[in-house]
Amino acid sequence: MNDKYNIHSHIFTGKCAPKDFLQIGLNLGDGVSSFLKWLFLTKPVSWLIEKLGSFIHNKTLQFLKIGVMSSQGEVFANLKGTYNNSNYSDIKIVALSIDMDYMTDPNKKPEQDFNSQIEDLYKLKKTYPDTFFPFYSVDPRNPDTIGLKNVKKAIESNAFAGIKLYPPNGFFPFDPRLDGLYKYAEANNIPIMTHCTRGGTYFIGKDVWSIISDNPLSLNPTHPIMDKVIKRIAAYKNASNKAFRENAKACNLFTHPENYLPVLDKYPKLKLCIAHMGGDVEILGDKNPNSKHAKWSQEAMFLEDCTATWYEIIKQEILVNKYPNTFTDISYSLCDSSCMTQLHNDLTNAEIDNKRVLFGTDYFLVTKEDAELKVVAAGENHLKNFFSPMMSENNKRYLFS
Amino acid sequence: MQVSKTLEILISLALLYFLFSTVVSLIFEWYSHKTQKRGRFLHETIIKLLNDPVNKSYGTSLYSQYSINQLKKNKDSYPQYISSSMFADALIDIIGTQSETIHFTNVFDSSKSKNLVEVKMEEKRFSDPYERFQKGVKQMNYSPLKSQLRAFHEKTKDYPELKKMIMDWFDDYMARVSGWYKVKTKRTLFHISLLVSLAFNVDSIAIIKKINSDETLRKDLVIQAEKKINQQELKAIKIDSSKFFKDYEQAVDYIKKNKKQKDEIEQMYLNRLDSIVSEIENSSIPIGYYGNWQKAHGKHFLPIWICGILISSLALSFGAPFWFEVMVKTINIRRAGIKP
Repeated sequence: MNDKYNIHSHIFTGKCAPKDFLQIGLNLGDGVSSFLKWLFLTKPVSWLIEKLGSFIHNKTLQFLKIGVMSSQGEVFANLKGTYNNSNYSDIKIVALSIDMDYMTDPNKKPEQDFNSQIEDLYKLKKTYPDTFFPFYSVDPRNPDTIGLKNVKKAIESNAFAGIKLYPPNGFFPFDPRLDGLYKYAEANNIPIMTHCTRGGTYFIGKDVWSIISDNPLSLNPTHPIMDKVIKRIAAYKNASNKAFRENAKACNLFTHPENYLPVLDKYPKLKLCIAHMGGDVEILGDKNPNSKHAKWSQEAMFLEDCTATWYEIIKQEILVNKYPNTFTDISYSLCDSSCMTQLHNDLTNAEIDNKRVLFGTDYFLVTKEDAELKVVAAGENHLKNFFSPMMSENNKRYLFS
Repeated sequence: MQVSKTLEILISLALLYFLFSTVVSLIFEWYSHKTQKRGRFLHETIIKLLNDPVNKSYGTSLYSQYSINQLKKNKDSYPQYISSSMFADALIDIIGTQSETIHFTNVFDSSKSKNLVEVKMEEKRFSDPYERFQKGVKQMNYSPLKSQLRAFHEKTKDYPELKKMIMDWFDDYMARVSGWYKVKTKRTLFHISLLVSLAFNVDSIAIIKKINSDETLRKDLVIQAEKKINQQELKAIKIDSSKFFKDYEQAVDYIKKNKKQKDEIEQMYLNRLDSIVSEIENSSIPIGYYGNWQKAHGKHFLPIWICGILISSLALSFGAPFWFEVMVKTINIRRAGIKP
């Protein structure tokens, strides 16, 4: 029997997120979103959400039901419980922490800060050593990143199985403060998981341009992509479409897959998974049945001075022999049947190396789309014989080789 | 106006406000119990006390510590009371935990398949809690909280002394917290007072007019006030928010002993409320929306009625102990000084 892993899940609670976290997706401004988050976490409202969520299988309600859970342990138990009566009852869970202490203005910091979130994950690892494999989130703005004291302790004790990066929260992957981390990760074969879609969470502070320098520092400053990055920043800053100057889209500057090329050229053996394959907007590009998304992809591609979508960039420039330890995962994207059809075609035509695609769901964020098991079933139906190795061999290779 | 009459009006009013503010206090207690107002406030203040942006939010860690976590009625609630002894034990434990080292070893069935057979866990920890605490503090980056915790260790010789010092620190802080809670509850008390005044039509201006003109009622109320003082019911009815943590300690003991606590506490509030309302009904105080109540203020009824209700709301928000005190003092002046 082969071990199975869900390589991409999240178990953080509403308490780990900043006070104005609900700005993401709601666009209601920090005041209203802070109030809403407070309201959702009050006892009567969270009780109501939990009760309604048990009877009504509305996707937003299911998502909120998990968000208002009282602890990471409860969210993890909920995820494990989902699999208990399925064919995947023995699945092992990789839970990715996210350092959200710096994704907004300092006065909106989370009630449960990052270090406390990590402490809870240590406790969970002690409780479920065989099934729980957390990843340690690194943000270069966190002072610990320089000395890597806590990261090293977490990794070397084997309590944490890898490192998580979440650039759209406000940093470039080529940030020189991450140089030590990449060096350490490459030398010790430590897996790094990084977010790569145009969606997800992003920096929600008041002034996003205060954290995007016109000429950002780089750990590989002479890399040819850096000139392109500088031009890209200027293009976004002066974009005629106001939306590209606002946080949600401006943070795509941090997420762009080309940002990893200076890193990979410096550390070519780095074990790096560019998650979500770039996301549905970029997998489908101009063929997206959602015309708004198709237009977004095309407009962004023009601004970013690219001739290929992020998915194509990942396929053609990152999952290449030059970088033997690069991966992507199907998390979140697996609930879009068009994305999975595209991936299946590319795997069949060997346009993408099937050993480099990992299985994950992006629980609990994916509950906005569908229930966990339905999402898994959708992926399995579309990817057929490619699916099982993704869940087992590929994930094991990524985690332990 | 005669001084004795003024005193009688004051005593009658104090009795009236005392009875209604008791209703307000009971409703407030019930509301606090239902909404976990105290628990949430205690949580906020402990988070603030142990806030350490340089290290971690120790307040959150404290609340997830096993013994504190077990105080929760359910997973979404916050304990309404944490004893200083329990706080000290939990804090020493969470700080000490930082000195622990843990190592997991992945055991695979073969190096090729990489299937996990088990994950072995090896924990290294200091068995002496006093030493663990010292090592845990050492692991912290410098912060005002670290400095404080280090000082606790330096000033003590062993675990009991350390615990005692942290307990005293917590008790001192809680004494201040009680003051903050009192201030915070004032607004809620005013809102409840307003609702009670509206529900019972407690119009102070109309009541003063009635007491002033109706000598029988005035005398009757004074007699009732004297009886009330003689009964010395203050201890039973007094709800002093400054002591809420100690009051709750007794409640916690009671809760532990009795599984039906939730229903019984609610029943207790209802019974107390019922007896107070009966007392008000029997006191022939001019309240409620009976008869020609609108005619009490003539043609400028509405603004005067609003003023009357607002005065009552403000008065009731002072709380039952305050009006009991006023009642006692005015009766003593009446008894000692001016003979009718």
